[in-house]
Amino acid sequence: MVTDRAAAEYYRKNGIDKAWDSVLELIPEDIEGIDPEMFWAAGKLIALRDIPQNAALIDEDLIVWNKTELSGKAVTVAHREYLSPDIYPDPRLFGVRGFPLLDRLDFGVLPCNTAFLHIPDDSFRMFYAGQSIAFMKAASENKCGDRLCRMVFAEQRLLAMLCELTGTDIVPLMDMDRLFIAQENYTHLWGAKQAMRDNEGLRAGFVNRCRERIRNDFPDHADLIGAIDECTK
Amino acid sequence: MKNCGWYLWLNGRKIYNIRDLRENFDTAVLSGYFLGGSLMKWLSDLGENSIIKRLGSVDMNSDIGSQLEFAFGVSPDIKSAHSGEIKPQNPPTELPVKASELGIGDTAVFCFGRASSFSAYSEAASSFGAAGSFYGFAESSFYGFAESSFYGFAESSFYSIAGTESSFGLASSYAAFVSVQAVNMIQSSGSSFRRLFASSEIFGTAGSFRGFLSGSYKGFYAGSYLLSLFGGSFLISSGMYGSFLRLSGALGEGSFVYINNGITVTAEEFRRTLINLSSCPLNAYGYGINLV
Repeated sequence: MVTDRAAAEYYRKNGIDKAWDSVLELIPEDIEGIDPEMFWAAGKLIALRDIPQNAALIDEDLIVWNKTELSGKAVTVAHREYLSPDIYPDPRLFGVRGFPLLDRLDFGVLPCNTAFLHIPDDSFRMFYAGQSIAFMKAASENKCGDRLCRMVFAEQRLLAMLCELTGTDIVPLMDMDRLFIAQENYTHLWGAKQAMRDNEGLRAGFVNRCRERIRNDFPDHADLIGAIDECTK
Repeated sequence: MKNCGWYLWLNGRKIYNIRDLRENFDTAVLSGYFLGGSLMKWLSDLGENSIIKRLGSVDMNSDIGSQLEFAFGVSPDIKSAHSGEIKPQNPPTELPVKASELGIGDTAVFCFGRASSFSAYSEAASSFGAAGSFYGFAESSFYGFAESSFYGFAESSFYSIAGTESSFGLASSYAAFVSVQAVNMIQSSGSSFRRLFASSEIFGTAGSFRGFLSGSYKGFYAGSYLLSLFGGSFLISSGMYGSFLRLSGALGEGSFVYINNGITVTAEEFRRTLINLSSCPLNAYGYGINLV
């Protein structure tokens, strides 16, 4: 687990840190001056840049129930996304100064959902993380109420654009047109997190099903369920 | 010349050392590397401490590109050496869409009207795409909605909205997004869309898909689908609102006519609507949740 100090302390205090081999506190409190409201996932890009060895980055709201083989060359992402203009508007409309690379990018490339992200090439990882952080720093100069478009541009659309720019292949774990076809490998809460915050029944049902599946599929880790239950009381 | 273990991507090339960096000096990309922190790491791995020291005094309120050129000893007269093609950008207000990629068939003539019915009985007159998504749209049926034309919907999810089986097919996950109760298959007589939305008055009494396009595209945002939307309805069967009227005539591939006032909706507008219709509610509610 790569996180910040506050989350690391929470995990250790509640015994959840046992779910991972180690907990790395790589994300600084101030996320290098990036606006934390506009760019709530900035820590993820800092982690991507600073992890000591290459790894797949998996958001906590994505559950990978079964292992999958990863490409040794291509970038693996959760899936592509459509260029919905409400979520991915023309980035020139952001009015960001200090990110000159924007003029060279192909705006027609479909963004990548990075709930799952594996970049086998360390150099490309540094390139993407660096450019993304640069965009976020430049955009943070002009604070605004946007809590979505700039963040998904920095993380998801920019990745696809840079892959296109460098000729790097992208392999999705899932077909974006078949996300809702029955499958047993991935669960992504995505926006359902908010729905579950608002609906206790929805959340309880999901949590119970997760408990059962963990007990069934990963009996060696079933003891963690008790630790999670304790810290949610 | 010492090489770094990893490269910078400059001027379309992989750069491993300082000499190659100076020869392929790419101000735009280097600015990003610098602001993002990767450049310092590259220089550190190379042991280029003198350059690191110069970069340490960069004034963030001044032109960073010029300061980078100075720090690397590149003449300030050298312009960025990038020689890649600058790809033309699409105008901000348009999406690059080819008609053939819209998933809309040759005849693709639909009418979204209040008291109109879509009674296309042959596939030729009702196709909504290569997979026949609005296939055989008999009165009150809505069969075989291809996956690609309505993102996130299973095959044949708009199956048979006839009087008896108006299930919404395998799109139960879609129902999940808009229902505050649960994830259930939508099965009811003539009310498949009605069940989807809590505010049924907006979407008609007889389960019509009332509130459809009125010829203008409005944002279908997650959480706002109960509000904004569209005007008009379609008739499911005689006497019931919400279906589509088969029309003939030269309206052009993928275009639509709102029968009451002749408003034309272009294929592009409809595609944007579908994208938002599908992407926002789906995004709001995740996937694979009910399959755990």
